[in-house]
Amino acid sequence: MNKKANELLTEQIIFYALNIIFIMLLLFFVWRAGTGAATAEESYAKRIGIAIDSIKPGTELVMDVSELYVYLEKNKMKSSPITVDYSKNVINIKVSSGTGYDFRYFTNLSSGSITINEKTKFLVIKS
Amino acid sequence: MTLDYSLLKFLNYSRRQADSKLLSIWWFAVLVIILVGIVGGTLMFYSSKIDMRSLEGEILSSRVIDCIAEGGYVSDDYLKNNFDVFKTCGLSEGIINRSGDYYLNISVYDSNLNLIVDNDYGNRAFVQECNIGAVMIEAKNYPKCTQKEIFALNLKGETLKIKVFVGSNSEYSSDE
Repeated sequence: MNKKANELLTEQIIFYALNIIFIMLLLFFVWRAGTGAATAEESYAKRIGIAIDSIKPGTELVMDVSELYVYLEKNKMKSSPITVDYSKNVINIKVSSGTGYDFRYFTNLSSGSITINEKTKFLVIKS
Repeated sequence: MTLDYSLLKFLNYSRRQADSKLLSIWWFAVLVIILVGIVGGTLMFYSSKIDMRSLEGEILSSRVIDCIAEGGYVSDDYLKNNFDVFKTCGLSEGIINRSGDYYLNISVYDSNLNLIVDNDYGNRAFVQECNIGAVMIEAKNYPKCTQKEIFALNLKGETLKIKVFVGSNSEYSSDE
């Protein structure tokens, strides 16, 4: 009787442990999907693109992009996370292998208007 | 009597075993359903694009209004059609006029609501597409449009009405 009770208890413990592991794995998957490099690339490309378009001419805007460097480090990449094609009005954010994410802005920017301070990891946009 | 009792006991035991197996199969099925639901939902949510078209339209119309009616006065050059909206407002002509992803219409009316100036740039098809998109519940690939109206003065002090209509569909262009 005691042996049977022990078996039952072990079964129950295994059952609950497996359920907890299952839920943890699901939560981990959801968390990974939400904090993935692809999401950051799209989010930053759009944020910066909208910032470029919304600032008035003659304004300087400073933006903290240090999070992008965290992804760069995580993915062991050494290139700059932000590249701008001034002739095509396209900003590209790339923090993982692949092509990154392009966003097109409609403001006329002169070459060199967007710079990154490598020390502070701040993006400076001069419109 | 003893035989009957042991038979009953055996049947009861095997039914419990079968119940337990059946439960585990159902439980496994429930887990699979939850797994598919959560993974599918998460992938769908994160793979969908962040729609910025309405915001872009708002920004573009505000910029044009700020540029044409700076300080509440409409530029005389604009009323005489001697005004390059792209150069003066710092907008890219290539993107707005030629990419096919934007439409910009600027109309100026006098105090009697007579149209004085009407300029439009970009993809004119957006005027119709915006009307269609506005009445449809799901119009994912149709442009998003915004319209802003303000009152300003000309240099003589007369009231003018400026209407700026912007359509944007840059989110779903082929190059993204």
